[in-house]
Amino acid sequence: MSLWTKLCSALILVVVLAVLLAYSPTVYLAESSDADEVLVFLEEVVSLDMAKYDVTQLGTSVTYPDWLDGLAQLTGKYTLESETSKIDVLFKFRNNTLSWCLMRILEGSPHYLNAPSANIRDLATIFLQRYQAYSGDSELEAMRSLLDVVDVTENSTTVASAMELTVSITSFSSSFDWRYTLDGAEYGGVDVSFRNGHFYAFGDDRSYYKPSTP
Amino acid sequence: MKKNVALTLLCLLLSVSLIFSILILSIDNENGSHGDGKNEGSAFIIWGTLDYTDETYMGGEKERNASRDVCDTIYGFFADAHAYDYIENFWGNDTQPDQVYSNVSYCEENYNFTAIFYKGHSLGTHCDVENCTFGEHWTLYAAGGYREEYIVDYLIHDRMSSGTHDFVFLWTCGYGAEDKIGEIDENGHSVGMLASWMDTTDLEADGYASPDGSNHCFIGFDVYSIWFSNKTGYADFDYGDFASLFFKYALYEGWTINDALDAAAEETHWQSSFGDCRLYTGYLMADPYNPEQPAVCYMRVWGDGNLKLLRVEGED
Repeated sequence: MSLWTKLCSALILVVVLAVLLAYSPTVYLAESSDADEVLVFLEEVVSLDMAKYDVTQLGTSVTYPDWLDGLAQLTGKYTLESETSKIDVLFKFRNNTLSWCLMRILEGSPHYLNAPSANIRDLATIFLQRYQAYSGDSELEAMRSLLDVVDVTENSTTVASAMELTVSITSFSSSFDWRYTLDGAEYGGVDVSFRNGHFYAFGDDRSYYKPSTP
Repeated sequence: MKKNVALTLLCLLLSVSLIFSILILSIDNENGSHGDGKNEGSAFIIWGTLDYTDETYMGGEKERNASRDVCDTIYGFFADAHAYDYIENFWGNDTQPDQVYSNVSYCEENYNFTAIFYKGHSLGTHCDVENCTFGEHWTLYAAGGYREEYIVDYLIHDRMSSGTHDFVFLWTCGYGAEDKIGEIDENGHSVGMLASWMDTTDLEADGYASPDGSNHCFIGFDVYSIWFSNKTGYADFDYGDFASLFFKYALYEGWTINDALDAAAEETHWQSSFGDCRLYTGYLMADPYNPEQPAVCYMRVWGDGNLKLLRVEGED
């Protein structure tokens, strides 16, 4: 091979490598696969028929906020689109656990595997049942038991066995907040809200929240 | 020997490739903020008073320092986003009425999207414009605060030319209330901060629950604004954290004002959405006009909660 050929080959290789390095995907695979867990949550807990949607992942980032004492927080957004339905989904993972998910219906009616109940108590109960099946968390049983004994048609706070359930009914949403309390200190909990008969938002801070002192 | 030469050549090739790739990316980034039209022509300005003299109703030095720090943080988010052509943090001494008015003119003439954040206080006034039928006008405290020259609603509107102040967030008392959004008369004379900054009175009253698609969004407070230094009640968060997190999330790719409100509310309140949070459902503040009875106050989102601060080509 002549020196000229060798130089040309080297130059081509430099250009190819430079372009590849410049445009290699900046999305971290680990982040994407963690974030995909949200789609499982939407199918198994919210009962969305994910096969009917084109899914696009938007702004997503990993941060280490001071208040989480070194734990990672993965924050992001998906858009779900079909011909008749458009939904935005926001999420946060903390301590590698899905800690927040919000579903904003932008257009049409969502495609469900099982249509949601028209009864607000049933909506909350079924959500907890499915969340328990999804997470394998037996603590959720106690939350369901407490839900069974409260009036879900008006604002109330009920305490039983170190657990407090707050029901908030507003013109915007109906929300349920279960929180462990002991000697005035608040521990982690679960909350879920529904809007216009659909799941709206959910949070679970039990995997990272440190109790406040009274 | 040959092996060493080959290895050296390979290292050299990789180094040169790396340098070229960095050059390609830096050229691309320059085009991203100007050349390809993406986010072209956007401005973001922070204004804020220094006057927090009254401990009971303004929060004193603690609130003043929190205001300075949060505005610095917000400015940093915009600077890091590299998405705006003109970014200024005029909090403090630079918040002078003439400076505000001239920046309104400058942004109207030079940018097709301007976002504003103001932190401070509100006060009523009267104007000397001939044939004005509005009665009371409304002002924002400038740097010097009470009894200094104020930033007056209709003088802001007088500088409007293209109507491109598309996002205005006034963290001050009252201007998010329905009876304070204002009016614009047939001579172009205005009253009220929403009408004056945004050159419209036609925005949806609950732009969070029912975004109106107008590409204009105004956030203000109904009755008293909550202090940055007030604790939210969850973890150690305060409302300054809410404000800074709101802007942090609003600058994520594809995120809307509503998304940012939800994410900030979730993080600082342990409420799963802004709609479930007390900023939306109502919070209590001490009322100087009725010390015995706290006032129920709200953060109001007018217009289009689906507006994005990180804009893409084609969004005007």
